[in-house]
Amino acid sequence: MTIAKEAVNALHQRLKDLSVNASPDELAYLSKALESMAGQSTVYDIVSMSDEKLQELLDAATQHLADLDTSKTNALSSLQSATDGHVITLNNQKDTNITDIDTAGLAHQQVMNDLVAGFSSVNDVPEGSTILTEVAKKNMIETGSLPFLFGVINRSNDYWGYGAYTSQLGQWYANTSHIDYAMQMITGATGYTTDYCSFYRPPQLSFLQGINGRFIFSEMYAKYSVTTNEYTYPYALVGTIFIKNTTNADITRTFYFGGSSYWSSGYEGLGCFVATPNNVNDDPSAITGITWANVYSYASSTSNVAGSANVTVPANKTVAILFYSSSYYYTGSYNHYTQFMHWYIYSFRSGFLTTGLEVDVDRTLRAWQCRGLQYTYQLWN
Amino acid sequence: MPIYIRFENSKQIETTILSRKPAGTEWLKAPEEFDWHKCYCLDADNNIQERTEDDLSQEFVGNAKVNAETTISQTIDKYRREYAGYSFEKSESYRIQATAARNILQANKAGSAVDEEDLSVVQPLAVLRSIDAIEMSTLILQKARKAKRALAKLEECEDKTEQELAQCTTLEEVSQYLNNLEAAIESELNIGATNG
Repeated sequence: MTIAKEAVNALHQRLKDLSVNASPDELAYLSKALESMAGQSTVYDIVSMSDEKLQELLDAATQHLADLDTSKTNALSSLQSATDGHVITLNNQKDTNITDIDTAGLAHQQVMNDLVAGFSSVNDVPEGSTILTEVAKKNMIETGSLPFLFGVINRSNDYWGYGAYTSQLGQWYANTSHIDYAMQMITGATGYTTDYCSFYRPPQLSFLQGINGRFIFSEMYAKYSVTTNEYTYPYALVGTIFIKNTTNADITRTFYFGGSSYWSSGYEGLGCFVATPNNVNDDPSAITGITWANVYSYASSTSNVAGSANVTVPANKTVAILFYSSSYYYTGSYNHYTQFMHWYIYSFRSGFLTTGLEVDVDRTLRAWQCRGLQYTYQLWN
Repeated sequence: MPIYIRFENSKQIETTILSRKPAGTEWLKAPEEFDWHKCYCLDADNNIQERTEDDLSQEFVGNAKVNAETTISQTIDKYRREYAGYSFEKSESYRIQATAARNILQANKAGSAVDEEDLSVVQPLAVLRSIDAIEMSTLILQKARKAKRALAKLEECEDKTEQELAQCTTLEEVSQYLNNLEAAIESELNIGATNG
C-alpha cells in the first residue's frame, strides 16, 4: 500500500511536470492511461481520500480506546465495591457461626459432664480395681441364658481316697441345719481342707434349655462292691440356681424338679431348699447371713420322683434354690452294686420365671468360680 | 402357704409346700406344729402323729440288716469263687480233673489198667510239672478235698451269720458285726484248709 501510494504520488508529480510542456498527444495518452488505471476517479483522489479515511478511522479507534479505558475504570471500581461488601458479609456470618458452634459445644459438653458425674456416682471404681475386667467377662453369659450350677458329690460311692464321707455332714434331704454343707460343697465356699469335697462330677456351669427351661441328668452305673456304704451314703446330686426379684413386692412361684432317691440309712433321700439373705440387693455388703427353708422332701427309694413346691422370692432380694437328690440302689451281683442317679429341673422358663424375676448371673458366676470364700452368704456380697 | 404330706404304708414319704393340695388320695395337710426335721406317720385312725425315736431307729436297723445280708452274700461268694472256680466253665474243668484223678488213683491202687481218657486229662498237666501221672492225680485230689471243705465251711458261715445278724438290735451292732465278719471268715477258712 505504501509503495503504491508512493508510486501514485510520483506519477501525479510526473503528470504535473509533463503537463507544462507536453504535446497534446502525449497528454491524451497519459490521461487515457491514468483513467484505465483508476476508473472514474483519479489515483490521486483515491490516495487523498484514503488518508482522510485513515484519519477518521484513527480518530474513531482512539475514541473507542478512550471509552474502553473509562468503562474499565468504572467497572473495576464497581467490582471492588461489591467485593468489599461481600467480604464484610462473609466475615460477619463467620463470626455468627462460630458463636453458634461454641454455644452448642458448651451445651453438649455439659451433657457429657453430667453423664460422667452420674456414672462416677454409681461406679466409684477405686484405684487398682478389677471390676471393669469382670464386667467384660460377664458378657460370656448371653442375654436370656438361664445358667445354674450342678455337680455330683462323692459321699462314699467311690469308697477310697480323700474327701469321701458318710454321716459327718448330717442328713440332707430334710434338714435346714445341714443343707448349707451341700451349698458349701457345690460352690466351694467352705473352710474345710481335704474333707468332704470329693466330686464324681465337679460343679459345672450348666444352662436350662429350650422354651421350657429344663435340664435332665441321668446315669446308671456299676461299682465294685467293697462296702454297703457305697450305696447307703451314695452320690449326692446337687444343683443351685440364683433368682433375683427386681420388684418391690414378694413373688411366689411353683418350682418343678425331680430325681432319684434311696432310703436306707437316712442319709440319702431327696430335698429342695431355698436360701434367703438377710438383706436386699441395694446394699450387698449388708448381707451377713442366709436362712435355709425346706420346701420339699422325699424319704423313700425310687428311680424317679417328680416334685413341685412353691418358692417365695422376697422383694429386691436374690434367693438360691438348692435341689439335692441321691443315687438309687437297684441291685447287687457278682461283686458289683448297680445304681441309678437322676436329677432334673423343668418348666423353669415357662412356669417359674415371670416379670420381675430373673436368674442372678453375677451370683451364679461367683458361685461357679470359687473366689476363695469361706461362708456361703459371701456369695451374696 | 400350706404344707402337704404324702404317706405310704402309713409313713411320711413326701412333703411339699404348695398353694393347693396335690393330686392323689395319699396327700394330707400337715399339722400346724409341723416340723421339717421331724418324721410323721398315720395312726390306726388315720391321724398324723410324730414317729418315735424307737420306731425310726428300728426302720434304719431293719434297712441296715438287709444291706448287711447283701454284703455277707457278696463276701461269701467272693470266697466260694476262690475254691469252686471263678466261673461255671472253670468249675466244670475242676470237676473233670478231679474225676479223672480219682479214677487213675483207684486203678493204680487196684493194679488194673488206667483208662486212656482219664490219662489224657492228667498226663499233659504232669508233663508240664515234670512229675508222673500218679503224683499229678494226688495233687489234684488234695486240692479238690481242700475246696470241698472250704465250700462246706462257707455254707456253715452263711447260715451262722444270718442267725447272728438277726440278733443285732442297733446300727452299731450291725456295723461292728460286719467289720468282724470278713476277718473271721478268712481265719476260719485258713484253719480249715490247713487242717485238711
